[in-house]
Amino acid sequence: MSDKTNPAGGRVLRAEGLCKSYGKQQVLHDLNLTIEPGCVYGLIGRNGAGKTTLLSILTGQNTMDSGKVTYGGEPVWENPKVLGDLCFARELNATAETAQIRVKDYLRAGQLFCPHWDKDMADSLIKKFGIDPKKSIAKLSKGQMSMVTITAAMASKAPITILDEPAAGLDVIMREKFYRMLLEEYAATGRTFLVSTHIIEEASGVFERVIVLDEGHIIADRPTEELIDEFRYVSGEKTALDAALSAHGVQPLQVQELGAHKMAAVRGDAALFEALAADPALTVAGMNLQNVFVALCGHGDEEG
Amino acid sequence: MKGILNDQNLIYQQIAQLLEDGILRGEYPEDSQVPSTNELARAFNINPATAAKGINRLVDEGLLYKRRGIGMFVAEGALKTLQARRRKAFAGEQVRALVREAKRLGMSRAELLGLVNDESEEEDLQ
Amino acid sequence: MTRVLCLFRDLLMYTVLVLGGFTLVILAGVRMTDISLFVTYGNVMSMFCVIFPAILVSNAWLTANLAMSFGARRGDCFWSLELVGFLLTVFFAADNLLLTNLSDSPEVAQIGLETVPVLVIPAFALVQTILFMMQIPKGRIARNVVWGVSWCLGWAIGMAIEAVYLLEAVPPFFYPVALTTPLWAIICLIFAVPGIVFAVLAWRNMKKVVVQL
Repeated sequence: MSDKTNPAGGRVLRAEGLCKSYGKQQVLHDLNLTIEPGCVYGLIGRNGAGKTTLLSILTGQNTMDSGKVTYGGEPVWENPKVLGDLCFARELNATAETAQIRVKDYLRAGQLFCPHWDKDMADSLIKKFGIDPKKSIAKLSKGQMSMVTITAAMASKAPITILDEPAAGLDVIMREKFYRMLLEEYAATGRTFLVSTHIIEEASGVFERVIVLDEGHIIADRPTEELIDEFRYVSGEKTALDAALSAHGVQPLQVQELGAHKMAAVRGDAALFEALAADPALTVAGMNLQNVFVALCGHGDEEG
Repeated sequence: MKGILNDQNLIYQQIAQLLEDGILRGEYPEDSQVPSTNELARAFNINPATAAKGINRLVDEGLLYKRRGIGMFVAEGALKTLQARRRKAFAGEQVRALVREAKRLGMSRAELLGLVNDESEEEDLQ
Repeated sequence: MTRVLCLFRDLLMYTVLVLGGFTLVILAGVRMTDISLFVTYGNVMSMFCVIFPAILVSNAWLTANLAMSFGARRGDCFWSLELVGFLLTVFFAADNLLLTNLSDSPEVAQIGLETVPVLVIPAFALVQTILFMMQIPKGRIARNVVWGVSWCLGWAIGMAIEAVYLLEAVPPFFYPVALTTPLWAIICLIFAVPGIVFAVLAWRNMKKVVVQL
């Protein structure tokens, strides 16, 4: 927000020409990304799109094959000056490793290494979530693991805070609560948040900007509402719809037919949508972020 | 994002619409204060920037004005402006939809006008 | 680096306390009772000495990953792990020395000061092996092979030292268990050379390690 001094002090987190492979499989393809201070970003993508790899490279926790990541112009890799301003709250899973880490060990590590850490906040959140700090992380439910991720992210008070799948395992009420907490923290501090998720429903109003990662490519990176506004569902009688779409030279992203009725997901601009809406045979309806996501990333496994 | 906001329209537009509706219904008379960006953001669990965008649209249109350090207020003549604009949209969209639906239902023009008359009677429309 | 060490502090304190407690119990047992179990434990300390520092460092590896996931530098973590590995090796050797010499029992073999290097060199070489191994992705056969071989060698040398001290009729070229004896010098060299190689490889790999929890 413009009227708030954000704690990143105007520093930008930037990735340029980022490539990454695991063995022969390339997971990130020449990515360019800029995280501006004072904004809530959503990183959405399907499972395996490369979200976690991207986020861990942004925070210097994973290697890259080529490219560079900088914060305020300085390289992030092994740079203690920079790393203190970045917090990467990982998605936690039950592994042999997390079986040996208790919640309190985890938070203590956060307290030691995050220079802005707010211990009171961490303690009160863990209490509020009803998590026993003496329990090992692997013994928590998936929802509770997400709450630990959220606690670490919030308490880090890092100017740039990255959360990996914090909504995983949370029920709809907890997700709402989490986004409320996130927005309140954002409104109070102006910290930058980058949240990865594949559960989009409640998130669209929260993300000011959205980055869509698909098979290692960034296919959209822009203000959420601008992106949504580029998409419409157009429906009508089959031949009329086909005629209108080809008259405007539009290639639908997704189609669904029901008898003589056909519905198409269409990407375009205001002029196109106005022209289509003027056709009395057609109905033009808006999409939500989830629809847009499906239209953009749902390729490859359409039902037969 | 929850409450009365829907999923099919852009949120900032819905925020603007919501405030417009409030002005039209008389909930926010001229020179009265409307909810702030943060109040709107909190009420609907949306990004404050998005709420601000909705408010700013009304400011740009001259419907709201900002009092420094206090908040947003309804501009003089906002109601009139809104009514004039909505009338135009009313003719263009709602009436057209009404007529199209009547046509699909196989109604005659006289039947439709009769229904409109009856309803106007009921609502005491002069 | 101090912050990484802070995170290791719990692990170290815990080890020292448990080890200290264990030693006191054994000492008391050997000196005040006739129970042979205490004597046995007093004698297997040399084996623990060689193996345990490496096992504890493998736990510390996880802690280092935790630190790195919150932004600790890889270099700091590596040198902290080395320091912790070294301290643990010294603790265990010192403990062994004290335990066997204070036990005041003819049945417990007394480890001499000259034997300490023969314990410390393999133990610290195993620490290097562990640091190298922990960076091999799980599921790779190499990881299990490296660990399996070093584990066996570690037990073997620990047991061999005990055997030399305890058994009679051991050929004279086994004596004394010190670096001045060619046999032990060679054995230590067999540990030290791969130890140095693993240390260098571990440092090289550490510079580009991927943080994992």
